[in-house]
Amino acid sequence: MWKLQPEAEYENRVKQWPKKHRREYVAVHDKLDTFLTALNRGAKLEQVKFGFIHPEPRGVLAIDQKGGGVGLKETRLYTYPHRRSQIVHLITFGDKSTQKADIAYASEFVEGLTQGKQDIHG
Amino acid sequence: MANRKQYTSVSELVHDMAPDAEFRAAFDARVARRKLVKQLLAMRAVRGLSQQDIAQKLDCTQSRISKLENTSDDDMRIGDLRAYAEAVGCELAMCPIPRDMKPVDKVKCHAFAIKAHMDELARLARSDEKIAEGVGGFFFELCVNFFRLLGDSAKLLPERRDDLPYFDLQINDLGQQQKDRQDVCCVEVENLPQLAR
Repeated sequence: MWKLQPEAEYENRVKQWPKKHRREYVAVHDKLDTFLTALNRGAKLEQVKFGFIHPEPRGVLAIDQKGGGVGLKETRLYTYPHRRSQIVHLITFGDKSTQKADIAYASEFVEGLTQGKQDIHG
Repeated sequence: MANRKQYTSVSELVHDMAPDAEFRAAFDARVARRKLVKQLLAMRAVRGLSQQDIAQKLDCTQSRISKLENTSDDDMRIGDLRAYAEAVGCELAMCPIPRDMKPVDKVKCHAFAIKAHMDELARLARSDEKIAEGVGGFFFELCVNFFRLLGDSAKLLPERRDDLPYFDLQINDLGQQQKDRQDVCCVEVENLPQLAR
């Protein structure tokens, strides 16, 4: 069974997430719920073809807010599903203004994870 | 690096980490509106199908499928639900369940449904000895797992004042029994009278 593991940067960003963008938070986490439901029903990672999931370098998957309502701000949750441990790492969470830095951070995080610098609970 | 907390569901995560109660309430409301749609989306992923694949099967546009997937359960037509379910290789089973149905009746309801499926399997087995062998093995596996599940639930019962359990089920090493007796699948349950207590 796949589990979720929020990482430190994700926790910080969520704590400070502005109230006025609550709908974006809800939409992205609803998409995460769909992704987790699919994985736990037996979908293989490579088979998951959801329009709200964007592959980024080093196996990072960015989940967006699309379909969550009209006029929502571009928001992305950066995740890394680790196959062996069946853990979806929630790396960071941000909007368009932090996108470039978020991708770089998530990529670096995964590099650390796969090189054993981070605890992967595998 | 310290071990980090893990969550088995997004709901659990949101309830623990969302900035405030309004975020949690908004999330719960959204999830409650999209339970069925989400299951269909999950089945599409399990089958490795894209929106385009579903559109082709249903003879419509990909944007229509996208719209269906972003709608709420209430706004989806039953015909669309059924068609989508068929496109992902599923049957749509819907039945009204009384909101005030007691947990005991829910268990009975599921038990009867399981019985109907088992009867179907047994009937299938009539046509072929190999199938019968497989179904027999499956029935045994089901029986063992059922008792295990029952045992797990029983562990949640409170302790009685006299220290005796409200429900106690001792199951022999059923796996070993199956190995020992390949010809017949049998189950021995000790303390059966306690079941009626």
